[in-house]
Amino acid sequence: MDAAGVPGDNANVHDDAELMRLASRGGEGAFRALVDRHGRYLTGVAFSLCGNAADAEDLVQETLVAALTSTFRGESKVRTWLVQIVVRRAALLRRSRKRQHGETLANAVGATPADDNRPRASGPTAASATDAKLDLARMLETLTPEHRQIIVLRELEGMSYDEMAAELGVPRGTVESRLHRARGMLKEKFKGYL
Amino acid sequence: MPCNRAAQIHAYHDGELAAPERAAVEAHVASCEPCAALLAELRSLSRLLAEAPLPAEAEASPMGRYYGAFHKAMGRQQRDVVRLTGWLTAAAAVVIAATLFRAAPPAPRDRPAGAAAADAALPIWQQVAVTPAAEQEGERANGELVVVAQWMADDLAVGGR
Repeated sequence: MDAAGVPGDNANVHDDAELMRLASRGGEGAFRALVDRHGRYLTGVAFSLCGNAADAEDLVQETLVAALTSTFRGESKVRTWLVQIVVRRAALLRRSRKRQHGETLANAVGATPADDNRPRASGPTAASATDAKLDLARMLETLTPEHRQIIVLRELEGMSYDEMAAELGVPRGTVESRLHRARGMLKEKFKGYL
Repeated sequence: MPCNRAAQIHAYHDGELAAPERAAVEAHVASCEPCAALLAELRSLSRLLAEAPLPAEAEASPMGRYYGAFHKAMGRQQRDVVRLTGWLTAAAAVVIAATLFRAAPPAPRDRPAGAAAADAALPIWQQVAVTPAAEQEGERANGELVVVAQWMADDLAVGGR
């Protein structure tokens, strides 16, 4: 669609919701402005969730396509909405990888199953944690995927327990226990910073 | 000694409590050292996470590729519209065809007088083959395959005599 055909389609619009509305109607300028504002943040979150750059970039691109082809209802900030899509897509990717991996293992004799729900092995040790320069991905890589999700949604996006329960499709009690556990692990790992 | 109100401290920190519960937790924290320490840790952890820089990979974001998502999404939307239009056209065609089929009167059987005698001389399968489609409508309604099968059986019986 021709961006010029959408009235008000320019990067000078300050409101994200308005940019999203214009972009969904074919405003390429509005879409680019949104990407400029949130593209790096989304990549950082996606990388922190999935742990590799190629998957993170795929996740962000898919998220942007999904955002343009669906309707933003304005129930949260645009950035939070986009992060929710990233979190959802990352979970789908993880499940599909796990399934593929399971199928591969079923065909391999004597292979050691890799548990995708474990924290990544490359995480900082407790001793090195205070020495390394901490970024978001370094902090979250010490957690399981479910705990990473909950920390992103609560600590970065400020979602309520009920909103997270709805987003993740789990009871509120599960949200609370995951959050407490995730915080407990982070406190233990990074106590030198607290 | 640990206190069993940790869940309430988390909920307080996350702004999940109503005013009376909030006041109760504040009063409790003022006199409970473990809960006060937990609340301080939670605040500190939240600050650490909020201030943590994005990983270096974020700086290398392929913005050009992200811009390309726009054309991908618009292409997908257009394909969806074309697909929907195709389905609606097909559905409309089916409805029109069904309506015309029900509304059409039976075709007149104005055949020449000698035609019946000539037909009698032909085997039944040839009669079916040369009969105009319009004249077969009545039989179709009764089940075309069943009728043709019956004719073939009759024809074979005649030929066998």
